[in-house]
Amino acid sequence: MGAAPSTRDSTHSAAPETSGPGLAVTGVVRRFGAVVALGGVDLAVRRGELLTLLGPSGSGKTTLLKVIAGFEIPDQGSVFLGGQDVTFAAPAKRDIGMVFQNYALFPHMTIAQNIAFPLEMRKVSKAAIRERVDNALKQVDLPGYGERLPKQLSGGQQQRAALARAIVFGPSLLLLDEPFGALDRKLREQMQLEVRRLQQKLGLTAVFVTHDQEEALIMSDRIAVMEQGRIAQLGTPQDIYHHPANRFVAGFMGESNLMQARLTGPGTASVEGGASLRFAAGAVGPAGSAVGLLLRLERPRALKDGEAAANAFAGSVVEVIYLGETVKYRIRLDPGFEIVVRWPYRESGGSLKVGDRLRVGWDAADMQPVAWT
Amino acid sequence: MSPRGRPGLPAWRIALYAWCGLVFFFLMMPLVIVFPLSFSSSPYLQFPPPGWSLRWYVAYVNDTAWIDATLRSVKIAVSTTVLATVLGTMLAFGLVRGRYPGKALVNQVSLMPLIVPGIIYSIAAYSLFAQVKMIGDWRAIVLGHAVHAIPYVVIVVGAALRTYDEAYELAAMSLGAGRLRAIWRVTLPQIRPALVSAMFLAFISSFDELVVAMFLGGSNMTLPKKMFDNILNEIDPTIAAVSVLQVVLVSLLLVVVSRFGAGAKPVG
Repeated sequence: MGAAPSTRDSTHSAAPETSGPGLAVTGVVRRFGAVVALGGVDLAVRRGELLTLLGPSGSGKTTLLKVIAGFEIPDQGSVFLGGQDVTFAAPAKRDIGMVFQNYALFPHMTIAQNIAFPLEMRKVSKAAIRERVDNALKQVDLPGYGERLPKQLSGGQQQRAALARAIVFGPSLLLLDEPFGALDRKLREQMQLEVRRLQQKLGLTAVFVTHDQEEALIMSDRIAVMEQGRIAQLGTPQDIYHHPANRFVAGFMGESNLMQARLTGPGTASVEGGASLRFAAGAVGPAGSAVGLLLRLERPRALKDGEAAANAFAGSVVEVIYLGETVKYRIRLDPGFEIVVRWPYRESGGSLKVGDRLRVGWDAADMQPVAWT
Repeated sequence: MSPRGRPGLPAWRIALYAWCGLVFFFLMMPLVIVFPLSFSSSPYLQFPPPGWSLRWYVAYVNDTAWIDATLRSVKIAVSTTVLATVLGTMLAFGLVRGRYPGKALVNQVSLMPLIVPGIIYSIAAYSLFAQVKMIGDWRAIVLGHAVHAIPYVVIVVGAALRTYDEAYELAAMSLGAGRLRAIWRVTLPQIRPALVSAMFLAFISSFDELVVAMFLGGSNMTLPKKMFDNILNEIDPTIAAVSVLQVVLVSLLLVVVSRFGAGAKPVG
């Protein structure tokens, strides 16, 4: 199914020496004509771990998933499943359970027939199939739904059925391709937690693809943020949220103040307007070089009279955005730069209005340096 | 005037109804005439019939030439349907899914039989089958008809494949089915309405066909050829009886098509 003739390196690298990786991807390159969809991806997913591929559309996350599933053959590099090289193995031979974006439940089969399909392909006996299908339906909380057709189920129920079909044969890897996109917000949150609980209970190794950073934070053991066919950062949700590796990751992981600054010394930098800011120390470059300063919306606080902080400025409210439990304020600080803060409604109150004066401060540790390139 | 006091139908509406009625009348006319004719007691094609009888149906059933021609036509049409559906479906897969140089050309060539005039195609087929001494062989007619029927299959099945979400097939493959098994168990059942329609079109295109059968049939007549000869030589109402039977057969097929061609149903 390749779009263009591709030359492939025949060099086979050995499986990486991780302690029993569920899945390992080494040096995977995939091009479509002149477009490089994957530009050399290395990734190891531990057994029982849920790893999320997070990125905007076109970042290569879906192509990587297809390479893992066997729907795409990489131009270079290898894929290992449980230590076995499966780079060229047919999808059917990989023992991977996959949940598709629109579930892809076979509409001409009942739910039970759908779930029985992978077992049938594996020549499991009729009696055993019945038992395992019933069991799988129980696991996803759909007992008694076996005789219905997919279209007779709600979106959430279809989602569960698709999940049951993907896990019923005890796959060595579970792939989830943006499975919650079609659900409304409330149901989506519920399904996220349910899928996560089931994955942990069964000890499944799983790769989850999404463009929703919040979803990634909720679901993952680790997150790989993808940018233009490469992994921009790989780490735990806390790591990635609080210590983004670069400007792209910082911008992608939720709303924040990201200011371009120039280093003036260890732990200090100046921003537009000349104000000097103090940030969490870390080797980021020589004085005079550009750096990004990341300040999450919830970190700054309103200072009482006489209260001090490493970074403290007076300013005035420019914009008020009411969000229910929290309120977002855009504040223009006197040195000549703006920040956005998000404070709980009760504390900051409906009291602040556009034009109000206040003092805002935050600690050096609240501000992370981020590579600006 | 209606009770609500609405004004009567505007003139353009009346004209439209009249026009539609006229078109309908012209389309139905042959059937309206042929049905009574087939039950005529007269030895001539006379309308309205002077009396009623089943003699022309009896004549048809008792004439081995008619029955031979009918059976031969059914055999040829069924074989054509199978051959054209299998090859046409494979071709449709290749045209919709494949990515290879020259695909546009293959697409045009596969639709060519629709454009080439039947008489030219028949003469070409005649000279080809004459060389391999297959004139008069029913299988030659099947081949000739299949080439004609394949474009219908390609168009109908290709349209269905184009709107078919390949994710179903990928899902089946990830669940342990090879490509062929995934197509057989998951893709084909879902495009069944298109397959049934394609088979119906292929069947009709062969069952009705006269020119190719004339050139390739030799002395082994198909039903259309036999009807053609009957009109030329010995006009009697048997031909009306045969026509009615033909219409009934196609109508039955249409019923079957709408029954099995409707949306997907659970298996087993």
